[in-house]
Amino acid sequence: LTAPADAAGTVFVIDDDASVRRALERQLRTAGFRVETFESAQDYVARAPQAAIACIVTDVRMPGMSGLDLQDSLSQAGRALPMVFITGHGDIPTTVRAMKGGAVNFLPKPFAEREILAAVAEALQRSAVIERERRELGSLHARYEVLTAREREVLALVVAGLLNKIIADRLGIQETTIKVHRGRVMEKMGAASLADLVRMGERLGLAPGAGPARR
Amino acid sequence: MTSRLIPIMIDPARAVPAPGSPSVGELLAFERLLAELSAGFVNLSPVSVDDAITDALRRIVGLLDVDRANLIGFAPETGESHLTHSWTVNDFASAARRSVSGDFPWAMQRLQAGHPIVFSRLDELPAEAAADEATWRRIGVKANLTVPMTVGGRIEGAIALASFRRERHWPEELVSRLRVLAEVFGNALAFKRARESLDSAMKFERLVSEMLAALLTTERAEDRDRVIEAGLRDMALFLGAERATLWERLGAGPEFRKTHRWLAAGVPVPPDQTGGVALPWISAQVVAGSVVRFASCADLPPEAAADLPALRELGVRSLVIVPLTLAGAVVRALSFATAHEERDWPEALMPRIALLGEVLGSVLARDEAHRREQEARAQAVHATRVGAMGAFAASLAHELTQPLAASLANAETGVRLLAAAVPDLDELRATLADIVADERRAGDLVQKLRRFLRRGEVERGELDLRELLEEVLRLVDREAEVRGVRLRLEIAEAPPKVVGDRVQLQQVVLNLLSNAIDAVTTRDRPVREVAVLAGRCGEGVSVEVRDSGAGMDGETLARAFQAFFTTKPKGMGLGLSISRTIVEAHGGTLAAHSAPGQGSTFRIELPLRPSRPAA
Repeated sequence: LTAPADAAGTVFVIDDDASVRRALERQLRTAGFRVETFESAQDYVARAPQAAIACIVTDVRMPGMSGLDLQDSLSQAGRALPMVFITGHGDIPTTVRAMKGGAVNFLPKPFAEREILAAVAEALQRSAVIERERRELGSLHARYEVLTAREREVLALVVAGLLNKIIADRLGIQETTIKVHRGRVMEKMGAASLADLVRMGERLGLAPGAGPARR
Repeated sequence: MTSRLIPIMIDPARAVPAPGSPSVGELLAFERLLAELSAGFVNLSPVSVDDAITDALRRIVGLLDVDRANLIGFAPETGESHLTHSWTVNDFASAARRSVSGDFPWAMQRLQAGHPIVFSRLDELPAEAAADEATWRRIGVKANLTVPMTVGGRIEGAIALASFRRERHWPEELVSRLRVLAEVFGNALAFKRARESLDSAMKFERLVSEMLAALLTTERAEDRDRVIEAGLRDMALFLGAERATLWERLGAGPEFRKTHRWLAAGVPVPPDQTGGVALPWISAQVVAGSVVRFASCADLPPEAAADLPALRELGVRSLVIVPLTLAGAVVRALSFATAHEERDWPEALMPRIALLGEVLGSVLARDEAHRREQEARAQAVHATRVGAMGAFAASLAHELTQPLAASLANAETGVRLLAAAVPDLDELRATLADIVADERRAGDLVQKLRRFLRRGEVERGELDLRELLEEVLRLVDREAEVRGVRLRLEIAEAPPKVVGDRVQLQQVVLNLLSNAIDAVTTRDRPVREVAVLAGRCGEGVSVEVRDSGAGMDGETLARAFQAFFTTKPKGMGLGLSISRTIVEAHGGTLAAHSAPGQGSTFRIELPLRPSRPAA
């Protein structure tokens, strides 16, 4: 019955029923979450609220766009957020579709407080993880951007697991020069070890012959 | 002694000067007898033909002063000779009806070849007739005149005159007269046979038409099976068969599956098998639309050799099998068989049996199509109603869950707020106010529903109570059958028509019936009975649904009609509440009587027409 320790996040509540919207807003707010309410999925899409860490609690059956349609549409637009579905009329196909689409939970109305609070906490936690990963990838890309063309070549071959000597042969330059490039790459990327550098390369999607992953 | 019509006819050998020429009086008497018999045999019923023949034999015995006159018949299929009619003067023992082939091998062969047997003394017989002579000697025959008898152009018997008391001469003239007499007899027998076959054909047709009529008026599957089996029995008994089987063709191949069968008492149950594999030739004939008929397996053509082992295994001695066609395709087959003896199936009936095949085939198919259509329609009606009720219930459930969900969220929030060191009283007040508002809203929804049911688009029409109830019963018939529940509908006399909404009232009865069926099947009730009783009741009508279930205690009974009260794990608790609303909207009442262990009775009382629509 205590507010979650990490309530740093926003819960977007979407329900066409004013009573439910009001009750949910109060329940989550008094439990320590920041809450914003929307009376329809279209309303949410139109207002496009921004928050680094957030989740959506939405009714499934609503006039106009349904909760499932919203899930699809956000996912296609690359704006997916962890979602908790609530419904007065749950059926297995709907539940399966929602869970396949990445729903955190699917709660039939009326639901117990501990269920909705636990679901929202989990959804926000998931959002936090996603956000952290997103940021890390962003910074990796930023660091990769400052590498010279030659350094990018060397990085790709290092990630592919080739020895300096072989890299030197491939690129037709001295092995000592390769060592210099490598040291500079480690430094620019902020890698603590070779293993660290390889992991970064993999996250950037560098494979032999392949370019970096798109952002 | 019988009185003699012509006393002078004693012994032609002695009484008549020239042997071989009967007296004029004798011939006249004979002509008169012939004329009388010819006239008399016409317009006889088949039953009296036998008596008439015996009486004619008696008159011949008297007229010709012989001691015995016999009529002998030859069975066409076996060549066996039987004594069929006989008259003997009183001084001697009468002849028993029996087979005479063994006693008179020479004589029967000659007669079947068209020759008469004439001897005045036993020693006139040739040496080949030794066996015959011995028989005549044993019986005490001293002289004999026998002429073949033709029926419908074929030699089918003989008339024999015997003298026990003395040897005697048979004039040529008498022999030819007797041949004419044999012809008259033959005509009479042909006539009898034609009448018999006509009668039997008519009887067969009556059997067939009765069976078809019964089939067309029977709806329940079990009853239909009984009708078909009874029809098979009647036809088998009529045809002298010991087994009658109705087969259904599997797909378009040569295989058939038994659907109905009748077996005579004492006939072993044949092993079950499909005909296509075991009886390749017969199946091929039937599938090609031909009737297969044989009196003995020995009559089958060589191509049917492969069928013999299975026929032996099935114990079939003789068989007739008819394809049943529908729109030119063989869909079923009807077979009659004997197991104990060989049987010749009357030729005259074959076209009729084939016709029966056609008619029965199309009636069964039509009937099946009709049943399938009815089933489909009943299912569609059921699905529509269930769907409508389901959608209604679902939308109601959805609407009700909103305030319920909001209230629960608010109530739990309220509890949490109170647990704080310093409760936020403003928040708490707002929370409680919201709970009150939502509970009101839930109550309003139920009210709205009731008003809708009362005022909604009610179609009032004149309803036939019997029709209405029978339709509902049909909807739950299958369900009841599956769950082993016996449904009974009792309607006292003809209740008057009621004005009301057919679908709504049917939903009420349907609801009461499903509850009753649930009640008798929830526990392992030994008696699973649900009765619907309808009749007049004062100025209106009443319908009672009684079950043999566990009954209800006082508390359950008191709450039975409350909305959202249910004893069922998946129930909404709205059925009885809505039912009562509907009945009351019709100006009637719905009440329950029950006690634990006594089952429950729900009673609807309806006025003939609602006095005024309740608001």
